[in-house]
Amino acid sequence: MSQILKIVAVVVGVFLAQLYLAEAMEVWQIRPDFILVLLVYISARYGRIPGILFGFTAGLLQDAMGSLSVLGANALAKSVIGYTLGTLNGTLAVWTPRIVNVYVYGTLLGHAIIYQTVMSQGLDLPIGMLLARIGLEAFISSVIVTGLRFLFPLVPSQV
Amino acid sequence: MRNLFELLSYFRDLLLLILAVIISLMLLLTGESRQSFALQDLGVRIIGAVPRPRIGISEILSYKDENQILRQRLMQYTLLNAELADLARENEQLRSMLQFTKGAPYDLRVAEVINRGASSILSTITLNVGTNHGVVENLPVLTLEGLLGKTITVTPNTSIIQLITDRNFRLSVKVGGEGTRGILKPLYGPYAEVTGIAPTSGVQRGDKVMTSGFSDIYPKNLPVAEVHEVTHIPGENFSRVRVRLYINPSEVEHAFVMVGHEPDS
Repeated sequence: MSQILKIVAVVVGVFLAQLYLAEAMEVWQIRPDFILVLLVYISARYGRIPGILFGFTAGLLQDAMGSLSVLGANALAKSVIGYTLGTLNGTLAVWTPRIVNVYVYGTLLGHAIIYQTVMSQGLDLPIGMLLARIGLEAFISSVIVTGLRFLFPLVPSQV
Repeated sequence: MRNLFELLSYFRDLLLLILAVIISLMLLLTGESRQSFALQDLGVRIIGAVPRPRIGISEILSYKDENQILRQRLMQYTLLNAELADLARENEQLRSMLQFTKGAPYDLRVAEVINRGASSILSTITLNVGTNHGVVENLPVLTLEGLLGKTITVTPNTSIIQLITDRNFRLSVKVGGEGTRGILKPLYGPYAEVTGIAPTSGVQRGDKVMTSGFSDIYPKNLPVAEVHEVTHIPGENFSRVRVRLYINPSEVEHAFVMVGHEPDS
């Protein structure tokens, strides 16, 4: 019970941070996605199904609270990420740290590719600028995930 | 049958992913359905229920700069006001000569931006005024710089704004001194495109873009943008007119809702 309450408190805290803190950290009109960072941890710790369910629900809520004309972009990207990173649950003991790193950061890049591509549809965005936005979003997410991994390992057994 | 259940159970995570992807794609393709608006309504109610944290150090520092800018702007407007007062007198005389009826002045409701959405890209903003303050759907929203958008979902104390930078936003505008009519649609960043401008229209860089008044929502002459680039493509009937919007939604802290302007719809 206390575990569930702890998770709920973390989810609410992360949503509040996304609503009110992320805008202060905006770089070239790209804000950090704290919900994506939380999704990385939930998927890695609890597996694919919780990852997809959380990714889809949180993504949809995120869309409802801000993406007026592109409802579903976050839900789509985060469902895929929830599934992909859910693979880490149970395989961390088998994979080498280098493979884990490539997998995690590659997945964050994948999220940026899906999300930025969907969001740029119909806006006549030059390909160079699209690539820059993808790179920047992936970089921001990677920096936050890397920082947090020093404080909280992806799965507790790694301590 | 048992084998089928076993198969479904074995691939349950993949099936769940496919279901989530299908629902997401359906939402993306039916972005303006009633279900989508119901979800957005839920989102804006959640945002409205959570008070925005007040006064951080960065906010105090930004107030100092903002105060400086506002002082400069106040001086500019004071000078401009004297000029406009003169023009208004002249305009009044001309109107009475032409027997024009004087339109009712717009009632502007000052609102504070309480949220800029939860996405990593800014798409909407939420204001702290709603039906309790006389705000309804489809009212123009302005900043000191120009048109910001329109109200799209309104709750008792909050309203969500469809920004002029939203990909589905379209606006009838007039460009330049000749008032050439066109349709404005947003592009990336601060840019937008005005379509339907003939190469012979004489539109050039620096021309002002304003609302045309051919709308149930927007009155005429609201400042919108400035022409950034005009490209004539041989063989095409219309020029490519790229404009730079006056507003930057990321920097907007306060806005004005034209509550006195009732939409016809």
